[in-house]
Amino acid sequence: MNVSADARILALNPDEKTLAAGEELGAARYWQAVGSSERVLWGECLGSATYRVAIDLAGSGYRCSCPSRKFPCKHVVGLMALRLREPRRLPGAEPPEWVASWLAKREPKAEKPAASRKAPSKATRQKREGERMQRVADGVAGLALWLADIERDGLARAQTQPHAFWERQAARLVDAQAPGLAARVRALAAIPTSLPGWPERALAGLGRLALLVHAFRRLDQVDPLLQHDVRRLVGWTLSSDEVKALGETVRDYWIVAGQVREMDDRLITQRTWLIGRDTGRSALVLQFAPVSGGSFPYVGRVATIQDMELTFWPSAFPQRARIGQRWGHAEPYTKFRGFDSMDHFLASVAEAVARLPWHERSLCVLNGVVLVRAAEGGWYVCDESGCGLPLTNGDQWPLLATTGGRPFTFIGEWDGERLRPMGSGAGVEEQS
Amino acid sequence: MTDELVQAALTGSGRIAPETLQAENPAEALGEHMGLLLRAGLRDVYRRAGYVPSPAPEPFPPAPEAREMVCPPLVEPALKEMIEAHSQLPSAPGEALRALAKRSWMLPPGLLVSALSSQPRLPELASVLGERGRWLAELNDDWQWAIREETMPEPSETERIWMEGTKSERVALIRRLRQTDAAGARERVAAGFASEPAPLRQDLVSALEVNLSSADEPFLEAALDDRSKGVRQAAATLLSRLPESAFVGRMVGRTRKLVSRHGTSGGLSVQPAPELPEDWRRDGIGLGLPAGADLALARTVQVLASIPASVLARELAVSLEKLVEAVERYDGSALIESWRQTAAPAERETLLPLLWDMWWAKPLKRATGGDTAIMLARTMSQGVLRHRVLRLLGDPPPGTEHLIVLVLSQVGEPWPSDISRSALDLLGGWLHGTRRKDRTVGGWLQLIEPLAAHAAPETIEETLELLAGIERANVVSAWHHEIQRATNVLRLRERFWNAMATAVAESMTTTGANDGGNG
Repeated sequence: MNVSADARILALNPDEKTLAAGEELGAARYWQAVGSSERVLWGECLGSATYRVAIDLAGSGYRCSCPSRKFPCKHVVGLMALRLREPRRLPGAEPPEWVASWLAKREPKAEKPAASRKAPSKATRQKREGERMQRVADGVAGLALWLADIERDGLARAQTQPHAFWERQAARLVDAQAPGLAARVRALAAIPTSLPGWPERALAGLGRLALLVHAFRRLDQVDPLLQHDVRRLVGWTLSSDEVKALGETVRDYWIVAGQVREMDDRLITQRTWLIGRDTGRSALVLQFAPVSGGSFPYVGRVATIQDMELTFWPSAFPQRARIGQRWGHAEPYTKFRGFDSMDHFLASVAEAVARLPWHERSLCVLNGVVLVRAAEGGWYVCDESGCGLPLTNGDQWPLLATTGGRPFTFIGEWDGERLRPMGSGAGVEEQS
Repeated sequence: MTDELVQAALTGSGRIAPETLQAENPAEALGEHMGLLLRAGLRDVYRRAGYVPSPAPEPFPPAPEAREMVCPPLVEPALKEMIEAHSQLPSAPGEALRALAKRSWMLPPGLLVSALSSQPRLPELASVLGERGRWLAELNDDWQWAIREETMPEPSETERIWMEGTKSERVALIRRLRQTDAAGARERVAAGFASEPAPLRQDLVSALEVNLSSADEPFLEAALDDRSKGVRQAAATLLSRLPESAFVGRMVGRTRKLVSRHGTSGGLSVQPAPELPEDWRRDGIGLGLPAGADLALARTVQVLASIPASVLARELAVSLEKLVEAVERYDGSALIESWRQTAAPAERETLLPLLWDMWWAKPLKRATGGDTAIMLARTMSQGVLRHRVLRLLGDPPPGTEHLIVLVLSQVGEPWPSDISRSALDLLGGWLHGTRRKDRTVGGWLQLIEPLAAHAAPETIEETLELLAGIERANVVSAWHHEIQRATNVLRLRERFWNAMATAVAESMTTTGANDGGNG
């Protein structure tokens, strides 16, 4: 029985590796001295050593005596998996001493946060927000001057500037609490100057940044939903509670369509794309982890479907979302409903860009396309009309092997210039 | 192509006439100092919103419908591991592909690219490509090898390689040409033979072994007079493989003076050859003899080695067994190798086991190490080899562990159960003896790596248990990494074979269910 997608396990919020390892441990042969009460599960996991594991069902807490720094560890997930698979293996009993004393210690702690944590007053919050707004406005004013200098002196000169030229400006924006703008400046520095097309790409990037500066300086004149986007792009973040309060929550059977990971020298970014089975909406779950380690909380396996609640960030074109409550199990799913022509897909992109000028990526699901290769080696997907969208540079032979040159449902990510296939066959269903 | 806006941006607004930017300048209305950049930003928004797809290249012809059965999906993850495990275990991809071929299962489409791109190439691939794989290989020049025989180069390319190629390219060309035009290739070699450097002449003569026939005899006979010792030896080697050649006739004549029958039992007496006449020298006798050897006896052995064993037995009117028995006491690696090479296919089943037994009677005295044993193992049929190797494993001559490991590498992969179990018995015996501090246990730890790589699938679990026992005994801490590596290799193979067993069982259940339905 596959229990990894059960809501009770996902409520523990394990990362993917822990989930897989824990699922394996959810077999009776790994456990001894197991038991349960209404409040708590406990047991001893037999591995390279014996670890004591307990899960507080009421307080959503757990403990394990293993040295892992992952919370939850695989033993905690394993105990919950055992309970789901073989509930009879955890007979009702009085908790042993080590469990009872742990529960006793948890009692006061459960109440402590609410009593001790004092939310800042409204006036304090407004004052802090005002100070930050001023710092960001100062940073944006500096950025506008810097952009005007580049415009006046020319891109040819900017092309010869050392990396520090871009990095200094990015650092100033970080100091001004505008990390979103800083990331855009760093992205400009990362465009390879030696490649043909640098002037066009750099100018487009600088142009989008200039538009963002322009919008921020007139924030009160901008559409209220677009204001959220401008603030987000500049670098304001929203807490989970704020997203829930301001954004739209949609319950649907959400299909995990594809997943991509990108890494720069600081962060690994994971983008997971979902499609609502009933609403037809697409959603993007964006996650970050440091390059030095760390993993992503479980979102879902590609080509599965689950009843979930997604809350969208407030936006003129709501796309980014976070997963809330889940119900039932994830099930395999490959019947993707996509666009029947490229024109329809590109029209949806046009609508997104019209509502949000800085819209960057779209989920692209195209029915009945074939994979083709140009003489110079570039790959395209092409529809019945014979028109093609270029794919990102990379080896697409595996996709050709899977699809056999026949029409298939393509799933990828469109960045405005190229399509990036997702899943290399996962979710790609050959049509007869 | 760079347009006006990009040109202006490259130059800089401070260096261009103001009127250039005034038209449609949104900055005027917006009161900004970044007019040019704002125009660029707006244009980028328009471009993204109004993206127009371009006409695409011609599509590929679709793959034909697959008629063969594709490997079941549950095997795919383990199969992928095996194909990609080449650096860890070079024999893994071949083992997996052969297992598929045995069940007539084709590679799943998702694994075709990694298999076709594998380096070195996988010769077993052709039989598991299936319709989809052949279609795919057809579309990529780098994968044509998997679906086509090696083709002859175009005539112009042949000339270019012959005139301008490196030494190895020229020799490879002659070997290829010999397959389709043996006479033409020989004439090409003969045409400028005298002007080629000696090492190349030697290799070109050796290349004539491909499709060797009596038509090559005149050229080879002439090469016996070459100024290079290596060329003369190469020519003599090839002439000895032509039973009807004058060279073999001369050697048979010499043999009559050196070998005689005695008694009625068919035994042979072999005499040393104290003299070395000039005509013997011309035929290569006396060349390459090791210093300190009994030269007279070594010359006799050289004469015998220059005649195919079957021809010699016929001329002396003795059986092959008697012939081998007569020469058994000599350090006969050269003799064994020569008779192995000249053995006609029909004689191999009889002659090669005799040569094998002759070699293994004194394995540690053979001057050529394990090369001769390996060559014999390669030429013998798998059935005969398996029988001989089992005998060795059951009663290994002392000090031959490394030689036995060498010949085990020639047993088909994976090994049959009986060979795997015999090897496990040896390794288990080693562990038992080591625990008792027995100093005569031998060097059977060397079996760990070949056992991990080739043990029969049904013995993998036993092998893992034995390795765990060796680790627990902690008697060879220096081998910890080797044991870990071997354990990983065995687990990799175990995953694959377990997946195969499950898939086979499922397919049989399905077939059974279908049969039941039809019946």
